[in-house]
Amino acid sequence: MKSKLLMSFALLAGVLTVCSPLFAHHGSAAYKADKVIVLKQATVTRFVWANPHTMVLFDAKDDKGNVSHWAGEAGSPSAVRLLGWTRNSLQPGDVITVHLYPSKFESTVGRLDKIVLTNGTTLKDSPRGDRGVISRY
Amino acid sequence: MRNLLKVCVVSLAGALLVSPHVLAQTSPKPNRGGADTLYDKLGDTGSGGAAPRRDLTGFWAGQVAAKLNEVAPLTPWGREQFRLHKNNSQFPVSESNDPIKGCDPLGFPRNMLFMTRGIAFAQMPGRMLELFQFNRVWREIWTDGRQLPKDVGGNSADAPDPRWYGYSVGHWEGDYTFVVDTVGSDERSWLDNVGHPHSIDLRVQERYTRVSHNTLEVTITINDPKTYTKPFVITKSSFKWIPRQDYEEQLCVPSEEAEYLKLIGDPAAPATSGK
Repeated sequence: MKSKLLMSFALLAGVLTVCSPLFAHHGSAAYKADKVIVLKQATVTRFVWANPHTMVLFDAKDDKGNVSHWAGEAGSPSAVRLLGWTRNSLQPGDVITVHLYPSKFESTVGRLDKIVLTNGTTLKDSPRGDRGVISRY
Repeated sequence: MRNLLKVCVVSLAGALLVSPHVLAQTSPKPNRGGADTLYDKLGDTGSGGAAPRRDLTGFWAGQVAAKLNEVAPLTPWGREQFRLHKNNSQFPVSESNDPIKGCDPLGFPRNMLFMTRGIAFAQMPGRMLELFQFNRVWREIWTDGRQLPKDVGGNSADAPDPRWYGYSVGHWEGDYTFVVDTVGSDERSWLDNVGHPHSIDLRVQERYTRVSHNTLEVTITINDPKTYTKPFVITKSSFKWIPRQDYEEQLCVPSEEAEYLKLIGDPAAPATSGK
């Protein structure tokens, strides 16, 4: 009994130790930090190579064929250029698979995780933050 | 004992119920798709030989954000200022009041703590210029022996105005450490991304030490008795010599920022959400 009690305490302490800093870091920012959604067969409508935010606008269809207009943000050109992006990485009409962290509030915007082109090229986004602080640059 | 065990198990279950959102953060793993700063991409650059004497001239690569120490305890005035600041980490962009949201200047010393991908020094007679990749900003650091201005922002007729990047003087201590003292930073700027405040009474000391040809280290000390109960070192960070001696243009462009807010920042979350 005593060992079970100690184990329970240890587990509880462990859970709280692991959880508390994460709560502090990503508490209530706009995007879900724990979920990446995948939008396949999306079509690029606009690619904005701008400081301090790179943006990808695209259309995606749901299972019923309804089209939604999406906007995804990535790091600054200074950041994503080092990850292999260029100002010409995406063109309107390109078909892509988008992995993104969606808004917590059900709007069709998100922070990009990565984009996969039909030729297999993967454009990864820059890391989301440092100490949980800022991430959009 | 049995009741105690029950309490513990219930507490653990409660913690687990509260935590799945957080625990799930490990799956999927956050994308860490390689170096996104020149600092990281350069890797181990080696020493490059001995540091030149009394010379910081050149372009240097740093991290996006310096690793910061905890700030000293806030004074009551400091706490009140801090309470008013809504940062970009805890608040959706639509609700944040971080000055950089509208492309206001980072100001000093925040620009030595964030957006430090690229800095440079240019030495001139009587002054050192420090240049920043982000927003192509520069500071003059006077080395001609003049004193720092007094009563910046005061009421007297000759009191200098506060500046986003303050007033700075510098001197060499030995051949490899350049010491910069700064006053007069505009209170509208934040100390850091968390939104910690500073007052017009802020004094900052930077100690740049050129450890070798390729390595520059800086220690930054904050002394602001109106805002913090004691002085503290906010960071010790490091920069690497950029072999090609150039850096990116990286600007916060107001029209592009406005478009970002329209397309992404504001739709991402209702304005009434937040911590």
